[in-house]
Amino acid sequence: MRFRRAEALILDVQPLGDADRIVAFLTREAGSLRGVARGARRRYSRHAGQLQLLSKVDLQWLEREGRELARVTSVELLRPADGFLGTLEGLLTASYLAESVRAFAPEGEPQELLYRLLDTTVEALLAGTGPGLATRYFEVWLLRLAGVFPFPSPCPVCGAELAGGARLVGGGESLVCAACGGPGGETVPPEALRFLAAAARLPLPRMAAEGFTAAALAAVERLATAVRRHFLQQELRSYQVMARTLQGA
Amino acid sequence: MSDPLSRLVGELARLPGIGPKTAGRLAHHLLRVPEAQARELAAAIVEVKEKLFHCSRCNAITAVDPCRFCADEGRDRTRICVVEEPFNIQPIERTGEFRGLYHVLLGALSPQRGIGPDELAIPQLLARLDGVEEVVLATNPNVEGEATALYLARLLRPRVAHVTRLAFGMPVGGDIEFTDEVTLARSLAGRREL
Repeated sequence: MRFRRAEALILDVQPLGDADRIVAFLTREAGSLRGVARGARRRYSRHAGQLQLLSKVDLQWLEREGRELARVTSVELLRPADGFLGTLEGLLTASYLAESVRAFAPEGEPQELLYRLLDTTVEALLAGTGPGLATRYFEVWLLRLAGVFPFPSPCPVCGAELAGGARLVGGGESLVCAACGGPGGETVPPEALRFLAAAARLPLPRMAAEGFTAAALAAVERLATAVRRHFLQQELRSYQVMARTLQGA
Repeated sequence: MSDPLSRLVGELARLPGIGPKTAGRLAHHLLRVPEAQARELAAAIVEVKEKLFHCSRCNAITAVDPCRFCADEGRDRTRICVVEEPFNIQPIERTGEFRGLYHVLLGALSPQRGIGPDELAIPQLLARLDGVEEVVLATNPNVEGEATALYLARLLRPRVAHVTRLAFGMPVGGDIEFTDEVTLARSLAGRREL
């Protein structure tokens, strides 16, 4: 048995029986974990309001040898995420960010950089950064941290600079210039390449000043989606639900 | 373990909230009870499967169609209370505060589990809005329930005069000292003048 304590971001909360909840959370040192919060469904539970999606908490838990689930023993709220969970877009975005992290973070492995990425993304969303900009920044960096994002460098075929546009080829494995890309593959316009270059050097709060258009953000989303699908060999459920829900609303 | 017992444990373990250990305990308990009691349990399970179904109007669990809520002419037909599951109706009924009709969505939006609007009984709700003045959104105060309420509010506002949501706040009989910050913040946001 091992008692642990860390700052954590809540990734998912699901009911377990009549009284308990299973909580998925992300920490720097222990990575992505799941634990049982006993009594969290009860009417007078202190955990109930604190275990909100993407809220930052001071979490204590007990790890037991051979058990898949830890036991959550204490939760203290450090930063609620209520500020952007009050809209449909905010809730869907939060679910998408959380599922993305769970898809790319193996359970139990340290995730310092991924934790910082999610933390700063939530911070920016709470500070009023548009969900579109914040989510695209998060997607690009998530894929970079996973080592699967083909970052724009000179065309690997002919060596030409990609500033004039590029194509995603190899099912999402590399970016080549338009001339070398042929007819297939996702087109990456110059504005999207500018976004990728800016994301590589700027923190998220400074990205808003770069004035990216909705078209540029949409192109980055298409690029990130293609790379993610190729890597995971499937689409994230929350991404599909988000698209269907916002289309219907 | 003998085969019939394994089968019973396996079947019980398929029920929500019951793991293999609890299933084993329940199975051994059933072995000890009188045969008549075990038969009563089995008959009750078969009976609900044979006789109960979802109301064709509101999706409540019923043995007759329409259900007793939809058939009751004394209920206020200008108000519909939307809940996630059929078992959410009874707690609201017990309050005695709501005398309108119900609509059961048979779930809630759950992005991480891939449940979107198409999986819910939303078209049936939209088809019931003639003469309705208020829709009360009584989905759970969690991510899934909130997303569902916000989605429905967008669809309903152009069609219904009043779209309301159950209030959030401290439980009656609770203590401020032991109330979590999020609940307390929502209680403050939803405070009312006395």
